[in-house]
Amino acid sequence: MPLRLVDCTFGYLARRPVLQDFSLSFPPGRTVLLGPNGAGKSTILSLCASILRPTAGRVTFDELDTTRRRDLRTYRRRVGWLPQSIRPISGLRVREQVAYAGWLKGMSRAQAWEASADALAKVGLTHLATRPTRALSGGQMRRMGIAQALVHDADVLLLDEPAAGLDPQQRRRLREVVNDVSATSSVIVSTHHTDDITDAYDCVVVLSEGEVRFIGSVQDFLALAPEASNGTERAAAAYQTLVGDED
Amino acid sequence: MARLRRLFALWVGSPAPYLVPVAVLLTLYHQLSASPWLTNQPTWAGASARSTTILFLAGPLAAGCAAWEMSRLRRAQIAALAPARSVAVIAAWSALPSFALGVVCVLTALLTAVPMVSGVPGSLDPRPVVIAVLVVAAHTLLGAAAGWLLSPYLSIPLALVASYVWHVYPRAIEPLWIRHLTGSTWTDCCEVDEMADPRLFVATAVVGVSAVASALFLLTHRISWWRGIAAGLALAAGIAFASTQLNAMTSRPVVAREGQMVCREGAPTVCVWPESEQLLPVAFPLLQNIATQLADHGWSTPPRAAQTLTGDSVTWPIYLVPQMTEPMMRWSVLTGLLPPPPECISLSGSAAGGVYYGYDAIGPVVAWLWLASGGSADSVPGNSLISSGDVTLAEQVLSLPQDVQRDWLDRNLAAIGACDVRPDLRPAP
Repeated sequence: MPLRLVDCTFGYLARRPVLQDFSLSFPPGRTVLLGPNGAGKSTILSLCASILRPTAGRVTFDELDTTRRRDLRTYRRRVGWLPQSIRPISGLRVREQVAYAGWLKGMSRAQAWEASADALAKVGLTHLATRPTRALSGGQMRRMGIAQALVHDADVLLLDEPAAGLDPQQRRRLREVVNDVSATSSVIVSTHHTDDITDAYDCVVVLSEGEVRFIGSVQDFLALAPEASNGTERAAAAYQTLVGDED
Repeated sequence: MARLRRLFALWVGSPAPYLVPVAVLLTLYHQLSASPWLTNQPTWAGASARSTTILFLAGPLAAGCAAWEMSRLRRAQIAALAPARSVAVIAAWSALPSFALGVVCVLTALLTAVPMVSGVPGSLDPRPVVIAVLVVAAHTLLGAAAGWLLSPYLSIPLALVASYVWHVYPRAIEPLWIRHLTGSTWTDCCEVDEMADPRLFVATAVVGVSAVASALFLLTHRISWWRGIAAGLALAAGIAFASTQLNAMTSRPVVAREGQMVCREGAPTVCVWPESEQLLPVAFPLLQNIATQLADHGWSTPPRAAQTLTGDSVTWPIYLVPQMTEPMMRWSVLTGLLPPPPECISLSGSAAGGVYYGYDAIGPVVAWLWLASGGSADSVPGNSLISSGDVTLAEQVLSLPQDVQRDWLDRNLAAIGACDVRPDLRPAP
């Protein structure tokens, strides 16, 4: 069963819902969530991560419903989550914080410690494993956050703006990670950079003002671009076709 | 080391492990130097109760450190990582060093009482220890809840101050039984013929459990109005129930000790509690001798001498501890013949008024008892109760006829045992 939002309504302010009766079913595989600032990407991922709770509707995955208290623990164990902001836990080193994130997700301490090494290797941070987390740069902190999301081998991985602050080499590495993880897990990535749209993804969802403007394959998405555009410009052109100049 | 670090990494940043030496030193200082009011009765009940004397320090330290720990996790926004573990479990693990810090204080306080009961038959009363640990757990979790819900600038001072005030302020207010809600008044137990009121254990356990429940309501991923109300209600219900158990008590949460005393028939019959039985071979002949000597001076002692705090016409209260020498024991049992302190100087909380003049008579009367019971003038123990002038005066009284001595004793014993009565120490008025 895919991860689904069913008739979800949510707003940070009572009278201004960001999402109203919103439904979306994420297909298995790699999905990229695209949209301008304020389109609702982070809200949708936060609902999927169960950080936010819809005021109406449900978020479900494999019969698990985040609005049911008894399902929440199991649901969270099966979902990996990279929020936009990653904060260091003072006093901890990089590997310790990643292992702690695994423990928070329900792993035993020993399992989490072993898994943290693999997670750090995947994001290329093994050499910084013993560095205090407070000493990391923004990009390194982001990669540590991705390792935290990866550490417990979730069934669904939710990455909110994972490429923010990463250099081109790290972005390429991120795509490799997404590719590797997608062999065993579904991956949902949000971004507002059209140049992140590559054939590394199986599905593109374009959001605008809390509504789905497009859902389909990368090829179908790129086909929306005018004939004249090419290369990375095609993604931008296709996006422009769907959302105009909202950014 | 690496294995330890990986298991306990989170604790490395906790202030609690670093505070252990300071906490132990403060506890030792308090227990050994700054607590002369603690009972020094060599009973296991009294020794066990010492575990609660340090709660005023253990509670705030544990609460403050736990608040610090949870505010560390709050700053790191771990709730935004969608943890599968409950906040209560996260708090329990991260605040474990804080809890351990409090328990170390409690156990250190308990250990300081060990010499007091060294060689005394009996065993530890686990109830005050259980209550002390429960109180530390409750304050730890409430501190953790404060750290989780509030800004660290507010939560840490709040946890420290609130926990300290909870322990010390109730001792300053009336009604007097309110102080027992804190769990730290086991300290006021137990003299040799007392034991802790069983209702104290029930009441303080209920308050402790309700405080833990209250904290668990607050330690949640999504705080809501009903959880806040439930937390308040849990604590209020616990305190309300405990109040029904405690409201008949005075400042001392004690009842008469149960169990059989060991007695040896004689004149007087001497009865001691089992842990003092080894003193009987010394105490029994001494008391027979004192009673005989005083009878020769017209003073009839009660027919039964017993290890109790208060006496009456038939009971002579005697105070015995294992390390006593014969002169110490003589002194101790003679002071048991004095009347009990009157209401105006009683520590029982009575509001009775009156002026006490009897202090002036205590020295001469005890000196008379010492000499009359066969003690020599040069063997009177030097202490604050008796001066050399008192001994001289007692010698003068002893040289008078027996009926005059009796009058002198009666009027001065009356002054010792009552308020607003002036002693008349003149040998012959």
